[in-house]
Amino acid sequence: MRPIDRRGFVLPLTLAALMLVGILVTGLALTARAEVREGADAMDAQRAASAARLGLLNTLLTWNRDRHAALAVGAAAVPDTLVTAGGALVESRLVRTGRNAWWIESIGMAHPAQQPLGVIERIGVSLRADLPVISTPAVLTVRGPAEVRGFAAVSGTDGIPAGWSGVCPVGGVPDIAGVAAPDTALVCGGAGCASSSAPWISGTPAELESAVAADPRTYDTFGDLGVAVMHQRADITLPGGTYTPAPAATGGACTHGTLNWGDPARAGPCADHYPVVHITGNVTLDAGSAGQGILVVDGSVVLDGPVTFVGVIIAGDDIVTSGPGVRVWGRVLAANIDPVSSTRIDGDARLQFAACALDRALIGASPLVPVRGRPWVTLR
Amino acid sequence: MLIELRSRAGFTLIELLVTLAVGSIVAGSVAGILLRQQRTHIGLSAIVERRTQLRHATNILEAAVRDAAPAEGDVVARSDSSLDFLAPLGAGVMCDTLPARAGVVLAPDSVSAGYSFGFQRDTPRAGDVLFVLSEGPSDAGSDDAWESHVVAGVGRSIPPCPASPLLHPVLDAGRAELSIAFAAGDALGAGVRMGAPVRFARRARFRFYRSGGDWWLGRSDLGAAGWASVQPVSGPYRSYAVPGGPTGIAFAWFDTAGIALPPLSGAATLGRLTITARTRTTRSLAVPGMRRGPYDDSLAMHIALRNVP
Repeated sequence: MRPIDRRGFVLPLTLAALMLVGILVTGLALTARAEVREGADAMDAQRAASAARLGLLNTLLTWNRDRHAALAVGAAAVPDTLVTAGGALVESRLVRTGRNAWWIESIGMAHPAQQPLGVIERIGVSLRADLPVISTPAVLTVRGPAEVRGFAAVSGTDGIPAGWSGVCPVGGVPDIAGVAAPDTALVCGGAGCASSSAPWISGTPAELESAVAADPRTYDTFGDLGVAVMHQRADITLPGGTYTPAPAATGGACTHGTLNWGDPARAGPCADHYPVVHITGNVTLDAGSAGQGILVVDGSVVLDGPVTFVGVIIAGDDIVTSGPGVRVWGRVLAANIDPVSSTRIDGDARLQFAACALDRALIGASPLVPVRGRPWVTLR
Repeated sequence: MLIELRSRAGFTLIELLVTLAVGSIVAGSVAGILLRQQRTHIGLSAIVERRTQLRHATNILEAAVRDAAPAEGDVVARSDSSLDFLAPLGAGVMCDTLPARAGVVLAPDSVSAGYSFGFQRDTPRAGDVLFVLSEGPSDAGSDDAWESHVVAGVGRSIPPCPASPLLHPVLDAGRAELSIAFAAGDALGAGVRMGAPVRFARRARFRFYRSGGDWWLGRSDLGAAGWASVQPVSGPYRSYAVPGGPTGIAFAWFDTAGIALPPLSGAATLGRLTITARTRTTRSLAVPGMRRGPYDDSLAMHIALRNVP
């Protein structure tokens, strides 16, 4: 039997319809996929942005102050990296851009394992060191009587402490006064305090009669920072007593502790440790003491040499030195709350202005904070 | 006469009728499916497009305003549907000054050491505003201030800042960087030091406006020749309605404590902006699982301004 040739249109029609349906379904799937992808991209952007913010804040809040003073202008610290709970990676890097200017760039990556790296968010913040302003007109500023005796010397000539030549350039800073007091009649030099101040006191001028020295605010207000803030900011708070601070290190790393006030000889890993130390009474620093940073003492300070300190000493009462080898580089303030006693620099003590070392100590002892007004920047 | 009978293959009437009936049923079903698919496709595409527009509006506004500094005077005017402000453009670090301190040279955005000093969202041009941080006469933060200078000229400096420690003298020597000149008679103050942070801004307006019968979010920038015409950046949205109504784009302003601010006061204390965008399709959509009719959608975004005290 011969097969009958049957031609129809249902099959082609069905195939064409299926094809059209397929095209529409594919279009729908692509549309939905685009929507999902857009949503995922938005989520990734949020994840990366959150990571960048977290990394930046983490770097700021956990920053070890030993690091930023040590950075030269133009140098960057080793980046901090952090992986968030959501798997995003963030890398934050601090760069010093000026004497008192730093910049953190934080890069958040939503999917760091992907190549190329998925969504990346970059933010930055400009920072400054929240410095106390120590702008007293002399290397030794007193609110009461001051004697410089024996072989001691107070010098307002800018100098560089031993061991600091590698980080402090020579010269360029004008000299300051040797001793500033409310009345220069209260200041004397030489044996028995009967001679003129030279050569015990030198500077430009050697002695300065200054209303700043008479003003009590000079001794408890340092720019924007009151003495209470300095107390809160103290890394080390100790009761009055006798101490022998000295640098301490373990395994090549500086070990922070209540009696490690940094290394003013810059001979070890504590060279850039500049603590703020608050003593709540009178203090005697015994022979062999060494420290740097900011020393705030509610009462009097006795330096029983040899003692080396770089930075600023703020005494509620007087400063007394004795014995050989007392070396203080920076500035000293004595508020003289007890009018009966007086500041006495004796032995072969030397108090000398050291602008660069003082600046480094103050910066190292101060936290980094965002600059006012416009610190934050989105970098994309 | 001999008649040759041939076998003629063909359809019987019944076959034809059955085929036509079946074919009609199949074609009708297919057409119905196709129509529904097409409507669904059109509907979903419209929904995706509207959602994209909503995201677009909030993303554009977020990127534009989040680095603004209201306490520094960046917000000039604002309402429930407009914003006139200094839009942040970029940032950098000053590595040199022009002669007579009549301008600045910026460190390159990225240097050979692998880190960056800034970013320019758009190259500054004449009429833009440059802010540079002045440290003031002392180290205290309270006397720091952002100096404001109008950009008069923009050039490229090669090599940038040859004496600056921010750059490698050899590896960064070929990098060009922005050199910004101020208007005649303008100069940097004494408190601006090397390494100072720099910001750029351009006066801009966002406005919810009507064009061609639709409502759009538009932007206009101020240039040396004056305000440019408003260009739509996102839309269309639902039409404007008074505050509280279902308006297309609504701005709500809050201070740093989260208290709502009226449009005409408290600009310096601005801390947060809430943007609500609402859209509605002009045509009725027929998408399975959704009520038949115009599609409504909205998106709200809370933007905490970063540069607030």
